[in-house]
Amino acid sequence: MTLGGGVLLVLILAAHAVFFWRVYEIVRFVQLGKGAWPSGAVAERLKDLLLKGFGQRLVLRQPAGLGHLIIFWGFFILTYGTIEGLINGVLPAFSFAWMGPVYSLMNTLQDFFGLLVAAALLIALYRRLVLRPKRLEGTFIHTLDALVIIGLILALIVAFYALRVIEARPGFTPVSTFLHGLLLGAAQTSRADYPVAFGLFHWLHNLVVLGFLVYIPYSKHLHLITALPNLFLSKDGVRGRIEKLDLEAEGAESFGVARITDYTKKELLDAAACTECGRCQEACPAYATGKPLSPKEVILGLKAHLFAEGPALLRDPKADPTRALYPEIIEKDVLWACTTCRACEEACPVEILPMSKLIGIRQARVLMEGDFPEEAQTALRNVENQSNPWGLPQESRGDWAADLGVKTLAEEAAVDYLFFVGCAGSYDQRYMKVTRAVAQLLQKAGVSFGILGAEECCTGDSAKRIGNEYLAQMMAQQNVDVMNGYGVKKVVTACPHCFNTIKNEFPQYGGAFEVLHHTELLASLVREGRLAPVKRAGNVVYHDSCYLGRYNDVIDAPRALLTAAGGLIEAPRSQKNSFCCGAGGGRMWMEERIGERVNVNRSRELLATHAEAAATACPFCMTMISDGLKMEERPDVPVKDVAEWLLESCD
Amino acid sequence: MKVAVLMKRVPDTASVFAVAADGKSVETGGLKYVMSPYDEHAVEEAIRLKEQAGAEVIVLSAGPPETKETLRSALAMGADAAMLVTGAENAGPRGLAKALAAALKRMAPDLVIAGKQAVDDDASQVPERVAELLGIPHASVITRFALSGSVATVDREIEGGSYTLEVPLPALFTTQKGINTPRYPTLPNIMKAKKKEITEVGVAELGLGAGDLAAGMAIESVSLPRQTRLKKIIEGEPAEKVRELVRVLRETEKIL
Repeated sequence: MTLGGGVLLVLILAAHAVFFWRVYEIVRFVQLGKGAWPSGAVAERLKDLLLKGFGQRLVLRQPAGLGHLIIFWGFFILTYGTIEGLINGVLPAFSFAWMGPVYSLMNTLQDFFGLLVAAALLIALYRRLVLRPKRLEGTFIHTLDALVIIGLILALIVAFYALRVIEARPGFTPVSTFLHGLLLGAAQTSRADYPVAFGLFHWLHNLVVLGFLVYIPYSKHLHLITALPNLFLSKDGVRGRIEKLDLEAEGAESFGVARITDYTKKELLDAAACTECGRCQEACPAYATGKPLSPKEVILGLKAHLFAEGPALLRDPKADPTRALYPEIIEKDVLWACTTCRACEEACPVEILPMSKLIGIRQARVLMEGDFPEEAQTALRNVENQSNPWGLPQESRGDWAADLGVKTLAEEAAVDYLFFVGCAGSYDQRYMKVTRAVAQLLQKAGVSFGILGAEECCTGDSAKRIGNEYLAQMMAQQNVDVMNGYGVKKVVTACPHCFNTIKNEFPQYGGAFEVLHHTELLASLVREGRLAPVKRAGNVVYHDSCYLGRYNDVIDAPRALLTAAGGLIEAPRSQKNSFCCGAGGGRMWMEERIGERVNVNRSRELLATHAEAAATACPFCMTMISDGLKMEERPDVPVKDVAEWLLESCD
Repeated sequence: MKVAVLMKRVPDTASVFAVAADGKSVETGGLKYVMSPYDEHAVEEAIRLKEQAGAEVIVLSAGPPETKETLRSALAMGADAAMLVTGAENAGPRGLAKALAAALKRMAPDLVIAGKQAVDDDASQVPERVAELLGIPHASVITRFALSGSVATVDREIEGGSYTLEVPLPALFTTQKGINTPRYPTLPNIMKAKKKEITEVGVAELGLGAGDLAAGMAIESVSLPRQTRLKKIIEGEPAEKVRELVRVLRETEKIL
């Protein structure tokens, strides 16, 4: 071993020591979280890891993802040469040449990927320095972080090609060959011809690799280590469900997330896995309308908080943090701005769940402190007293049905479907018309159904998402008990929030029902020919409800109905990428005081399609889009539920 | 310091009301019950005093056994103890006041707070009667309460303004909206409230007989407000329309 080789060996060992110590420290930080790691479903997890991780399926949903795919795979391919280069630096005689054809193939791949990665990096640089998309904006340190990483990899690639230009490798290496011809002429050369240059580039190559190794766990590139495990561990729980808290747990003193260590281990891994790509922020309706909430900043805030408090918490898990999770890390207006539209969670390429992090804090605020926006308190008290957020009499819940001959299950329990009407469908003057339209369509098609009438109560969706787990559980249990009492099997509902809660959360209360949104049932009735719409509605733009489309994949049914009833126009942001109306997550019951109104933003987008009318499939969306169009002074564009458009075309 | 809060269980005013068959009472079958909203302000004010000055807060009510649920709501807000006087279910304001005053005499609180009225019969009599029976001063419809030593400074709301009073304790006050925002109970307090004992005292035990609880008045009939609309559209020039509207409201409808 030469002196240089010895120095390099020391550097290799030192860099690995720093790297693994830091990774070990981060693992311990993440382990500060509550509960056990997710387990089971290994086959599904491996599939996720392969498709979403190595296949980069989620990353590729945006064009910039192609660049990432190249850099991602380039990393693995170039690492082959990197390892060889490091060992070779210590033991000059070493090479992977004994691998024969594999060696040639890897040399070929490296030759191609070097160029591809360089191109991807230059585009990344161009985006960060010239295009500057908003989602990549951050503090100076964050921007510098990205530039350092791009710079390091570029330096690595320059060194890589310099070495290959000086000394060719077996295999088909057109890029190196071309550069060799350009720089050194036609004659073959070896390291003996340019010992100084070769030595310098070899050192540069190795030092950049070691520098990168040390830099990774201290930078946003930590995601190299955390993103794949996060994808592997992500399939836990049901999409759309907020896990039921055990409120009667023996010895439980606090509920929800009041401190960073109240998150689960997986939730803390989420924070450590953030790539800072900002896709969540780009998709967030609160951020888009000038609220202080950015899901990216929420996750990065939690990450920084965990890493800052981590060392003290490792010494004493009960230690008081120097900064409070609320309201210092997550501020009040950030916490309550979330509409729970789940766009951030859908957008994340590594399946981080920013929305759920906020729900945990909301639970602690409501359950432990009774602290939440006053307007919402009125709504929740109303739910407590009259089982609906408007506080209208529970006895009147079934009044809309009086003249339609719709029977309650108390009157006639042997029906195929329970029509779960929901609070808005029972009390909101406008949405009662939708309820009536749905009932009339079901009657027209000869569907056997009944309602619960005064026995129905709020599903607890708003309460749950505001963080009032106690009230939400009471409501859910009450409904499940009544429904089970009548032996209900199949449910149809005209409210996506009821739909989501009944489908995804009621099973936790012993309620296993087959649930359809009204558009799904109506679409199947049209398919079966039991309803025969005639195209009448004109060109209607459809606004997807988050809880229907993004949460529960009900995307085609409303579209099929609108197409059958007239002409369907798609909004620019639609289907899984739809833009929230602004009323989810209990926002329906709160004032919107900061920035632009979410519903106005969305209404403008719908108007820009030049549709003659709009269609919704959710009571909250109906209210918000109607108001938005009013505020835009466009009463000429009517908003109707999909069912109403269908009924008109069936008359 | 001991603070007693008078609380009444009343039907949620959002309920659908119907006159009972006797024509003299309200059908109670489908009614939902809540704490009278003005009493929530009274409970809140007492709990604030507890937080600031370490007072002991006891909530007192007279009513049917279901009233215990409503007392638990007050306990969940943070009251320390609750007492229910039984046997006065059918009493009117006069009898209720006697029952509550008898219970308060045993309790000997330094301060009594109540809502300015209960939103069921809107009689606005019980707290004032209680103060008279106990022989302590009272101030009604207060929108501010401050305690300094054994003197309370309160603002009373009056038409178009307010005036400030200084009242030596023991005394009774009735709360008006605006004095505070009643808190939303926390889960630990709800859980604790479930375990707290609610003392029950019968009227006989308090030394009251049937005569003491007599209403001193009789209800002749109960009727619902008229719901039908006149459906009258006033035509003409704006100024004329306003004159006509005022005339109808004043002369025909006798509202103004």
